[in-house]
Formats: sequence, C-alpha cells, structure tokens
Amino acid sequence: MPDRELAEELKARLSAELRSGAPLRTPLASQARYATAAAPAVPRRSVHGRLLVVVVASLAVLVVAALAGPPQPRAWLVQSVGNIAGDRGAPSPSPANQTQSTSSPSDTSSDQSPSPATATVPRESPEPVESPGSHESPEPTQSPSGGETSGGDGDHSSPTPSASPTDGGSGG
Amino acid sequence: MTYKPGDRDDFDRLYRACYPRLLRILFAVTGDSASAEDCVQEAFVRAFAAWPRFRPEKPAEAWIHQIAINTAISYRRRARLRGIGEVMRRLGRPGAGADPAETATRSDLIEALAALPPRVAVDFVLRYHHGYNNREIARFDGVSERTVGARLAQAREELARRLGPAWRGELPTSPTHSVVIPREPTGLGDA
Repeated sequence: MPDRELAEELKARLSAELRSGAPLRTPLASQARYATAAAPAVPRRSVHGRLLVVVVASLAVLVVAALAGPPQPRAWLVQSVGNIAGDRGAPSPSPANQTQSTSSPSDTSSDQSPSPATATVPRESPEPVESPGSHESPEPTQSPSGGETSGGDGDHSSPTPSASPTDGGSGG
Repeated sequence: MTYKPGDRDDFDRLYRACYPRLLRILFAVTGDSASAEDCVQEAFVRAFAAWPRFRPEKPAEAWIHQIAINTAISYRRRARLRGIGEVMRRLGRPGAGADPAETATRSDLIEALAALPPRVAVDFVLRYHHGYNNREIARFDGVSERTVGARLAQAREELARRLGPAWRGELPTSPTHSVVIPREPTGLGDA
C-alpha cells in the first residue's frame, strides 16, 4: 500500500502545536534529574552507618550502666522479701512472738538495714517491752500482766498460747 | 556521533542532543507538557543507571528513545489506572467535570494524538514532524517497514475520524516520490 502524505498546512499545524505545547527549555545537564538523583546515594549509606554506630554505642552504655553501676538504693527491699520468704520456710513460732515480731518497730528499723542478720536479731530479743515500738501494739496495755506477756514472749520454745489473753482472739 | 558507555561527559552530550526531540515526542504521547518533561527526565534517570552497561551495537539515540517510549507507556498506564480510581471514588457524587484550564490549553490535535496508541503516535510524530522516512523509523523502532506503514495509516485514519478527512492524507503524485523535509539538528540520521 503506498504511503500517504499529509498536506503541508497540516504538517505545519502539527509542528506548531508540538512546539507551542512543549517549548524547548532544555535544562542544563547539571540540572537534570539524573545528575541530582545519583549524588545522594553515597551520603545516604554513610548516614545509615552513623545511625547504626550511635544505636550500638547507646546500647553498650545502657548495658554497662546496668551491670557495673553503683548498687541500687532499693536493695533493702529485695533483702526484706528474701527474709520474709525465709521466715515462712522456718518452723512457725508462737503467735505471741508473731505479734511481737510484726508490730515491733525494731523490725521496721531492721527492715531498713540492709543486712538480714540484724533483721533476725529483734525476734530473738527476750525483752520486747523495752523497745519503744511496743506502744503501737495495744495488747501490752490491755494486758494486766505485761511481765507475763513479756515472759511468754521470751519463751520462744513454749507453744502454749493460753498464757496470753490475746491468744484466744487471735487463735479463734 | 559515538558515545563511550559509562562516560559521564558522553552521557551529558547524549542528554543535550536528545532532550528536545524526546520532549516533543512524549508530549504527543502524553498530551501534557509537564508529564512529558517528567517522563523524559525519568527516562534519563533510568538510562543513566544503565549507562555503564550500554552496548553500542545500536545508536545511543535509539536506545534512549526506546527507554523514553517505555517510560511514557508506563506513565499512561498509571494515569489510566488513576483515572479509573477517581471514577470509583466519585461514584454517586456530582461530577466535577474536566479541568477548564486544561481543556482550554490542550488543542484538538494534541488530544487526538494522546488518544492514539503510544507507538502509533510516536511514529506519526517522527514521520510528519521530524521528517524521517519509514525505513529510518523502522530501524529505530526495531520493527519492519510494513509495521511502520500500518501504524501511520492507523494514525491518519483516527485523526481523520476526529479532526476531518484532510488528515487521511493524499497519495503521492509520483511512485518515485522522495520527501525531503528539513530536519531538526538533532535527528535520528545523525546517530
């Protein structure tokens, strides 16, 4: 099939519309997108590397601070919990002794001390009456014979709760 | 004109030589100068990435031309999908209509060219604007001359249907007719 030709005025119109629609504004090669798009490839890699180094360094600092730092001020809490757990594992003392040991301020003072050895000392003390914290306990004041109570407290091996008038209430 | 693959200066030369022609070809394909410019720039970005691997078995101009056409085809496909998405979103709402500014600036001819299949529009512009003959276009596209002739006939027929019978063209007066059209300085024959 022979190829047809367009009229000259149609070709002129085609050229005019293409030229007016897409005017020649050839950007410089340095302003072309390929020139600017290729440049940031290298810095991006270095930024990623720098970020990785910062993250690793901060993690290392955190680990060092956690393992090799000064002892925590709340270490007494862990030790107190350990003491209570040890008490539960030990043979149960007399109820009076339990009352004394829980209400005695020497216990609370021993709780604040970090060593567990000092915490067990007040429970073995035969004279809890001398401790100033005995005012917190209502039982010694209600009891007509504080000496008997204190004697009963001192008798750690005695399992007779009938000696104390409060034993009936606490035992019941 | 010879180019050394991977050479930055040679690629800059290729850019300066091909940019104007590619811009007008892609303007005919996309129907929008901003989109055409975007596609040309994108094509050069792709070409630049592949420039060290370019094999000078065929002219570098033809190589970048193929990349640009493929970029424009992808662009048109994405634009069509976006258009379908817009229609789905606006379903049931009152239509906004076409953008008046765009309608005013785009001519009937450019609109008709943009409605053609991309390779048909490209061959039409190469033949009737840049002045290449069918053999050159066929070599450039990597297809037969027969294919180029069929594409040109399809373009003329479609333009005649939309714009008037004059666009159907006229048969050459002599069988030995040879068209001599002044070309732009950056042509395919220069490659």
